[in-house]
Amino acid sequence: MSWLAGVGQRVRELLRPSGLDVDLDAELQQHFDHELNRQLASGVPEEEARRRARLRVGRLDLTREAVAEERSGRVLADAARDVRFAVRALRRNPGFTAAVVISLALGVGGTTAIFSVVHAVLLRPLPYPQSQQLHLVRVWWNDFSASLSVADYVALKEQSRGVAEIGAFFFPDGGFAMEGAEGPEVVKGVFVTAELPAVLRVSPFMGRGFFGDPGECQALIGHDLWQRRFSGRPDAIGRRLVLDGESCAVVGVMPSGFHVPGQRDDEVWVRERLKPPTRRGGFFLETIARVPDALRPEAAAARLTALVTPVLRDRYGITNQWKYGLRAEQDVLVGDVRETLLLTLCAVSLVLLIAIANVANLLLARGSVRTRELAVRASLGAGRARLARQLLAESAFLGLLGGGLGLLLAAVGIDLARSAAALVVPRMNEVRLDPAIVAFALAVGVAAGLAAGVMPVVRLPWTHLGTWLREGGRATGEGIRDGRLRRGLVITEIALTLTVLTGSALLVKSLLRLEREDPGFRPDGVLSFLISLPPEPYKDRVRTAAFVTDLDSRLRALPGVTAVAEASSLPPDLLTFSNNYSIEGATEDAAGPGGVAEWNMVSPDYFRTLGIVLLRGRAFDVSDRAGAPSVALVNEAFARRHYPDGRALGKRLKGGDWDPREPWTTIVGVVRDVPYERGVWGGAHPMVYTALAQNFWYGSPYFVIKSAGDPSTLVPAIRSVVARLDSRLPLRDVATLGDVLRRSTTVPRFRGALFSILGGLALALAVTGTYGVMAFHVSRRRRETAVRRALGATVGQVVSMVLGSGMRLALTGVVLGAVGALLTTRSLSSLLFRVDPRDPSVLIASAVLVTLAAFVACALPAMRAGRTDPAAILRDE
Amino acid sequence: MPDDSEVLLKGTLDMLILKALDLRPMHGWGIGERIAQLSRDVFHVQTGTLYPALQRLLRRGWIAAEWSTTDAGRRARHYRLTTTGRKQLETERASWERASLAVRRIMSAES
Repeated sequence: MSWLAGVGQRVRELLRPSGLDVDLDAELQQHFDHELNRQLASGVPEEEARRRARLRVGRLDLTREAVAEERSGRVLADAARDVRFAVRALRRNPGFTAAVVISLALGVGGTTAIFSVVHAVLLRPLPYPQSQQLHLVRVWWNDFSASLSVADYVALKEQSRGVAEIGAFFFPDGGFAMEGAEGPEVVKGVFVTAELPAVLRVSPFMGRGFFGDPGECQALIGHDLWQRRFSGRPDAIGRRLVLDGESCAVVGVMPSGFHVPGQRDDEVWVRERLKPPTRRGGFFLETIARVPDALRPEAAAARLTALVTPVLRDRYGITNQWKYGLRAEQDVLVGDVRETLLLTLCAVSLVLLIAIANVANLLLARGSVRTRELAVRASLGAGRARLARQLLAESAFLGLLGGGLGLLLAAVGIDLARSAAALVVPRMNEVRLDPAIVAFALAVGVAAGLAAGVMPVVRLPWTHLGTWLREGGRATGEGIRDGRLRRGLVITEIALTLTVLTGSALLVKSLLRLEREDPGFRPDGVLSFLISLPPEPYKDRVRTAAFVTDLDSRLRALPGVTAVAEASSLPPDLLTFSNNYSIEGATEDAAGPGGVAEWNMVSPDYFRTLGIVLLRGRAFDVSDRAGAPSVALVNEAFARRHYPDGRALGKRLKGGDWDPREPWTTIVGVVRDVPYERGVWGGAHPMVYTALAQNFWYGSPYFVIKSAGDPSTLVPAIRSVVARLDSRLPLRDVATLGDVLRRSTTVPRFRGALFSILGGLALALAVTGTYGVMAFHVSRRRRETAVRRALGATVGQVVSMVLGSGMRLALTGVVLGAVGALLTTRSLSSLLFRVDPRDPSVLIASAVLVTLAAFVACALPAMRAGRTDPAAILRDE
Repeated sequence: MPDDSEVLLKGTLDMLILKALDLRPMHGWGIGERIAQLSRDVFHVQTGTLYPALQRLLRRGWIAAEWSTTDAGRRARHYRLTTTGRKQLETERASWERASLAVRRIMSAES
């Protein structure tokens, strides 16, 4: 490329600018001297000779300027001229330009939006120094895992020195109630161990952090809360906040944007004051280990297990098989969405390919129209390279426009998606259009433009451009090859579209299946909220029992209320905790006498309120109170696990690790399976229900209220009832169970929506692409059509001929696309809920949809061909 | 008599310079003289056109320049045709012949 050579020379000149000017001056002076000598030689007097020489040589100052301009300006001028030329050519064809730019913008916009999410979520490290060292620690029993218990944490803290740094956090139920001038406010926050900030390598930017007496309530606060509550004043340090009824000292302000891993709106971090454990159990500590780079996580996990095993055996008699597992925190946080994001990126790349094929088609069609222009320019001396560069400059410029518009679309899309996706995609708040994304969009745009532009340039009848004009400017052999290429592109577009569309349809079908799936409980008319009783004065179980019973009976008295119940966990995904247990008479095997099950402490009316079917035995009743024999219900999954003969009633178990002093709990009923952990999709796990009335050490129950009408209208009445009992208590997590159920399918719904948009986009691009090619085909063959009509072909024959050739392409594309879909949809398996990735009805429906769309795209040009007036056209020619 | 120089078609100057250098390397003034001589004094190239054109051809790599010392002991800048320049000359000659033939046909056609 001569630009390149030009740049090289220009750089050389820039390196010695003054020297060159001296050279030029010398050269021009010599030029003048030569001229003068010649004039003198012809015999005129010196004065006259000088005058003539000056006249003939011209003004040297202007020459110097012209040379300087030539030197500096031309490189840029060449490029500028190409672009100017491109702009002019494109402005002459606004329809064409718009079609190309919009096609590219849709492809680039989609790709950029998804890439920006992938970039923020998957590629960028977590916002902690050396975040690759951070791992989540879980305890594993065979194929079951849980967070850590306090016993685990204490032992790890003692034993882990030299292997890893350990810190942990856990969640208060529904945030902290913070007292303020205008009543209690719920702020999101977590309890953290004193070590956690150091493990994350984030220190407060103000204040010293946790210190001194571990029994004192100390809190770190977030930057925003500091601004809001203390107006950003430095004397906030040492002030006190009343959190859940307890006064805590503010010991530091964390930097803006700090959150514990996986959280996005926590703004208070309270130092935990956990009681020394008497058993291993209550697995609720999210534990983070910082493992040095030199140590592999598996090795670290093995060493930690080996170090802690004897400690737990000596202290709590733990002899069953367990081990720690470490997983990189980044993988943990993006685990569920990684696959979705990468698959979406694949799908959106296919859409980009469709857009490129579309644009290549448009350029090809235009290229064959422009052959005349190019032939004329070639015969006037424009070089091949020059023309090719011109065409590519045009494509690149189109790509740049497409990229720019795509960037705008992506910006709008990200903005719309940010709030919708915030619930679904971790780190979504970190997604933004930074310079890397802008560069990505423009680069993809230009690359797409060039990719689409290269083929038409290669396909120009370069060698025949000279002879082209002589042959009357009609299609040559190349034109036929062009046609083949165009048809190939249409087939490709349709095949890709069917592949993308089939994937989208599978996800949508899966979503419909999921939403129609019976969750095992009836959410209609049920409102839920959480009350978290502060330690003062509710440390006393009697006070807790009194409050809950009192509130329960007052809620029942509200108009329209048909049932009220309390529970520590709610379906479909509000599981508060799991517990280990021992089964009476079970043989000690490697997995221990029992195992771990989901645990829910509920009031007698719980099953009735939620419509959970009692299969055998009885539900809890008022006689199951503190002091009465301890009773439990289990679900089918639990009964199947331990009593395959179906005789669960009357069997006994103990919560927590085996302790001879603990009394047995008798199973009095079996209820239907209901999912508690990961929604309907995740399915039900073994669950033990115990009577809340026998477990009032627990003071943060959900209340569920069934009402005949719209339950959300009850909220103000409920608030005043609660305020009358204890004005410090806010209602937390107020929602209808219907909302909770819907929220649990947010991820699949988001995925379904995303892929539906992509499928629709692909279809729209393919339809416009097919239409464009067919319309072009028809207009090029007007003469042929006219001749046929003149020779007696009917309108129907003409229409069906065009339609036939178009549909042949479409059907070829559909067949190839079906094969493509069968080969690729398997990668969606894990995203599908009870739908086979090769579901024939989905594939057939998608194929029919694509075929119909292609039919419409072909029918319009076919009808135009049918309207051809042979007389008029043949006369024109 | 700058009038005739304007006959010098835009775009043909480069070709004429290449043609002039086809004979042998020469300095700027020599090129101008050579063009004047070959055109029987029809085309006079002034420095304001010649030197920017030389610059352009240098950049395109069609000609090369070097300083040398003349017999008289003065430094002079000589221009010579490069291999690509020679090819370019052939290309331009061919297309020029095509175009001029076409123009002549048009102009001599009976109306």
